[in-house]
Amino acid sequence: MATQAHSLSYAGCNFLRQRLVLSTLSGRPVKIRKIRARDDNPGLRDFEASFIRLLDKITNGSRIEINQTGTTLYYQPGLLYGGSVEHDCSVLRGIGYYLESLLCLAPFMKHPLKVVLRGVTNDQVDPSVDVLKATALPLLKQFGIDGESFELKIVRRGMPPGGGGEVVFSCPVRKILKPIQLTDPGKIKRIRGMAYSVRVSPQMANRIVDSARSILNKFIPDIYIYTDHMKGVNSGKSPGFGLSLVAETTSGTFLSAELASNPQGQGAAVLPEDLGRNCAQLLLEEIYRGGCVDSTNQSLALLLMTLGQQDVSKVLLGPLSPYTIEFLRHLKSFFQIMFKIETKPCGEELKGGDKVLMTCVGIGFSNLSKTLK
Amino acid sequence: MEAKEQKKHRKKNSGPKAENKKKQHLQDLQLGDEEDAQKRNPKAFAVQSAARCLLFLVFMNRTQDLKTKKHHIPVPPPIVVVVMGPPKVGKHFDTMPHSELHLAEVDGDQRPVLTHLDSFKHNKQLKKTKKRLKHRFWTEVYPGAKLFYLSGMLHGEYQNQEIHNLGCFITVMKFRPLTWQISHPYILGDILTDFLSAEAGFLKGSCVLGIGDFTMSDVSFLPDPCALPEQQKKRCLNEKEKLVYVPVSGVGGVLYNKDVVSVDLGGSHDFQDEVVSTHVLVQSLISTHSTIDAKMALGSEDIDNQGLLMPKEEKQMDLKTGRMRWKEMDLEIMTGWKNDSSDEEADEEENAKVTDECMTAKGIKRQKLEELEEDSKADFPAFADSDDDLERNSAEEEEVEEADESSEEEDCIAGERGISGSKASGEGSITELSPANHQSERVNLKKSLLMKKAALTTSNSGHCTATEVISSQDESEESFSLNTEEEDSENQEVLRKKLSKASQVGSSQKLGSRNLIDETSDIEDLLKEEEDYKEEKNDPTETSGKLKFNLSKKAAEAFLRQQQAAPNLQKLIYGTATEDNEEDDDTQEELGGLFRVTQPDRGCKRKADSLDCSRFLVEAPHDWDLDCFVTGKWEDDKHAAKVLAEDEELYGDFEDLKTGDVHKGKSGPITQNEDIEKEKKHLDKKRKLKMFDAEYDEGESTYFDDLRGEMQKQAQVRNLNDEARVQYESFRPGMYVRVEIENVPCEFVRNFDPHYPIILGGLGNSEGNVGYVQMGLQKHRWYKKILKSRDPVIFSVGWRRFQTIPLYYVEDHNGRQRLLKYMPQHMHCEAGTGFLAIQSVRGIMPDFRITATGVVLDLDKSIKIVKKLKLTGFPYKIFKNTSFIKGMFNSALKVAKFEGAVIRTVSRIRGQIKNALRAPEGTFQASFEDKLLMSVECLVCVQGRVLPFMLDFYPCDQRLESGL
Repeated sequence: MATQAHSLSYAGCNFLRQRLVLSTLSGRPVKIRKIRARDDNPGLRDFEASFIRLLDKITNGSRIEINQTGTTLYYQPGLLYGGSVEHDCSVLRGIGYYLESLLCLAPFMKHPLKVVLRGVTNDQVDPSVDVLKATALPLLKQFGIDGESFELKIVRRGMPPGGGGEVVFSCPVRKILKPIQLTDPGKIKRIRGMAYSVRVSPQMANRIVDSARSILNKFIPDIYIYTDHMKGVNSGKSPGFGLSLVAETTSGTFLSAELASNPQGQGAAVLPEDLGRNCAQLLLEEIYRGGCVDSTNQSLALLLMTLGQQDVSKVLLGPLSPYTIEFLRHLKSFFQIMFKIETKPCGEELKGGDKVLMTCVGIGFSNLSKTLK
Repeated sequence: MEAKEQKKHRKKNSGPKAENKKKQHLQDLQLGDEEDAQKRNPKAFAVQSAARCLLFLVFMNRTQDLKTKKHHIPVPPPIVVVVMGPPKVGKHFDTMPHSELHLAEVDGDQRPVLTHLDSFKHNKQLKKTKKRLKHRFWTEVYPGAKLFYLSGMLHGEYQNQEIHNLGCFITVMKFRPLTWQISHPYILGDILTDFLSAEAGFLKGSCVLGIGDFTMSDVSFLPDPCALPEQQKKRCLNEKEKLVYVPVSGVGGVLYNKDVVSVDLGGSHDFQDEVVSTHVLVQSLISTHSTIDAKMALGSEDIDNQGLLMPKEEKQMDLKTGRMRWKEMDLEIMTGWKNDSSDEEADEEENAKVTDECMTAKGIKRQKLEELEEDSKADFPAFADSDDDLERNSAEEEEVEEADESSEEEDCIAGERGISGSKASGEGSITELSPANHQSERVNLKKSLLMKKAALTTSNSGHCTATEVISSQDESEESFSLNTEEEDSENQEVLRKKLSKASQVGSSQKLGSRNLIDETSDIEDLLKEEEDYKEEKNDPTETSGKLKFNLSKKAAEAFLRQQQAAPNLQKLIYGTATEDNEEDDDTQEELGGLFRVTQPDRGCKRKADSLDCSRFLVEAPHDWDLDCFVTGKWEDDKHAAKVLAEDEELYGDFEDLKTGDVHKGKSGPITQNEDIEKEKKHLDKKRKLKMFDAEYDEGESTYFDDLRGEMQKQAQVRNLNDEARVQYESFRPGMYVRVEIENVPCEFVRNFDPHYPIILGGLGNSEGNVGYVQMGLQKHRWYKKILKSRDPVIFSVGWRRFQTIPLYYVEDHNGRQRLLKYMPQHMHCEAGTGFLAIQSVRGIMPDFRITATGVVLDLDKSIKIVKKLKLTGFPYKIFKNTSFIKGMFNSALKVAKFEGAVIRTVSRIRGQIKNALRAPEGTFQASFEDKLLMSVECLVCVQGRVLPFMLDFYPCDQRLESGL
């Protein structure tokens, strides 16, 4: 009998997704202890359980063991299977929470993944589906994941706390990934956006657009912010509105920012004008940070670089987010890969804040589970 | 009655029938009509002029040669060449080598070499044999396979020139690209050290073949015992450079291991004796395991020699810990020992750093000094080989320069510096020339009242300059620690706090939300403060000019900042990564043996259980940079206005065809310029033409250009030293590495036979836990028996050899995978990773052993193979077209499951299962198209799922068996 690779052990529920995703890709079992062990309400939360269930759906032969209190999780990954999957996500977290991990896993399935996710499409915590559609998908295209079937469609919008949104994500399968050389971030040439409103006055979206433009117009004239007012069954179960902005650079990278209104019954009501202005400022901040990859997608880019062919990949990033830093550590423990990290101070060539140049040699990961036919 | 003579049949020679027949005949010959005359009569279309043809060929060959020359991408050097064949090879080829040929076919490339050709007396017979063997190989290996001929032996050796040719041939050989081989590393075992089963070998890219899977506990690289000669471009090697390194051999008891060449004294090599001491050793090592860095450092320890060969173990151990900790370069340790002046180990470390003993008499006790001298001497060979230390020296230099505030250049040597230094001035320093790194080092050891200070001045032969930027991460570490050294304890405390905070910044949510860069700059600021403080402190002792000092200080500061920015980020991320996770258990104290004192670490806990979110929140907004936008300022060369102006100059002139006006570009007031411009345009045109020509000539080879470009990019990574490179790109092909494997069965070591090469194969990440393997399979045409499902077969797939119980199946048109009892004679095969199957490895079978060959198609955790299953029953009551049927099912529930299913009788009367009956359990009502007879049997055809056996068994290797 083939001996199992020895498992990795972690404590605490933070970075649960990274650990499980990397475990699935590397095939190494993972054990997570002390999940909210000292909390009044110990163990895994609903949204985490839902995430584990989703992983179980897209894999074949995974073994998941959770102890009675839910404080310890043992996960022995199976093969990524894919196919058509439907999943009801927990409304405690946005669909982005689940989708981010699916973006990491989808290219390595046995069968092309087509997944229907139901839940909260836009919230204040996770990257919204709009942002992922505008930033993560072009990023994946850089790695050679492309095709007709590669799309993310928002069928219904759902805001917290009720949810009721629905998205369809489909992704083709790749055996190997292309290495990337993204070192020139370019300059912002246009800004696009989406102001959405559900179960509130359609005027809200227009008010958001006006206020956001008032700030951004000083920087660049090429701005277009779409308004998206969903009605009836497509509007989910709770009222809300928000804005997501995407800036595209001359070299084809996308930087994004977003804000959503407070969920119904939580916190004070937010004025759409304030929201628009703040979101525009967040976008400017993101542009200041810069880099060739949006700050939310840093880890995705690094993962795909790691899993690329045995070749040098380079990417210029803005300041690394805490999530990315932990991700780098996990990459090292799961794949034994270290990135060369060089700080590039801003100057003549690079505008905005300091940048970080990440270089690595891919491990030559190939999609084993893909059927040869 | 006279037989009437029958008229003979006459063939038709004309008419439509004859024409048809003619056409048919031509078609049978696969020749078309007139237009295929070339096919029918090739000779008529042969080349008319030989000279012309030759010219053409030469031309074609030349361009082709040039192209392929460009295409040649060198394969990494170590190619495992296996020479095999029966004793006195070359005479016959029986069945044994042919099975080996097949082994090679699936796993690599093979090149038959025919020897003993001189034993053929007659030329004709030789030719015949050559031809026969060639054709044999063509059918076996691949059509057109090349053979290599060695004409014969001279004085029991093959002829020099021929072997040389063969060698050259192997080096330039092009391999079929085997994707599997590219993605899987392997190692040829070289030295097997038995106590920990440590092996060294050439890395080509772990599972020890025939033994099982193991996880590598440690890998480190070693200097190549058989390194390539310095100069590459030579046709042949000098006699001196011709090295033969026989794996698994000590040359007369001399063993190459790690960086030490040890001599086997004999008698100490008994395996049984070693167990205890090695156990202790291993334990001591395991206890120090903390980080990957540490492991790396560990790997470079010379465990074997200390354990096995060196009787003076204690000293070595001390030295070892010294070296190990030195390599770890852990912040804690470095700052820790600097405070503690009585720490003996610390002293040792210091002196281990100072390879050549040069020290002042004042600071250190006589007795200790002697000891240290010994140590540093002993440590010398280990030190000399490491590049890092060399660089470190230069870093130390930097620091010392700052510390001493010497205004002098690097070259103004230490005599002066000694004076300018401080209290240690006037002490005679001994300089010794190190033979290894050829650098004279001068060391001042001084002891201040506040703390023990180790400052090193090394002025080497000039290849380390003050402004040299070294990106080694260890170094920045060094600069840190040496800085702290200069502070008094209070300051140090602050710094350490700051550093440990910084080390956690990435992971902690609270700090993490803050900008990382800010954090680093914090540290920088702190350092600057410290420097200022230091400056004040040391001012009175300063002797050199203020101005000069300032300059050097500024330079040093800039250097420091440059140093800190990048590697610190790296250290932040990787340096302390595993700390929080592993510390958890260690920090718990036991109280009275029953209870444990747990100290809730607030920060850590919050981090561990905080929100899992990838968003990077903004805390303090910045001044937004307008230059980030296309509307902002551009670089000079890309500035729109400038580019536009240039365009205007070039393309400004145009004629409006409608109006006939001629628009002139801004030609400028000076008309002389026009000539120059014309000239310029002309040159430009020429350049463009050249570019076009070049592009045109290149043609399709752009792919290779890209490839080469990428390789060049990779080459840029290579200017790092080995240690750093190993971190980034792991162990590259061709390195000589040492691998430690734990929990190897003792039989492997006990029955170790150096005649059998050990090969360690690497496995991909998820290859260790694959459930079922689907393969395309074909029975080998020489194998006599028929293959049966569930008949155990030994497979050799990739690195693995295992015995398993296969299920043979075919895929039907509807995608159903139907079980077969017996393997059919012919089946499809598809390209992919090859494998082959053998029924038994034990002993030598007289017949052909390879049962089947094929390729792996799919891997999965579950598989659905079905086989035909017929459920039978009998009618017990018959109405008109309806019958009640019994004996098919046991319960009404099962009937319910099959409701609506098609049922038929053996006499092909079709029907349908309607519903279950209450009375006898399991009976049901079915309607048929006709009335049944009582005696007729009813059938329901279903597909029953077949579960494969979860069994794979690693057949014992001969190596393991031989002792049994």
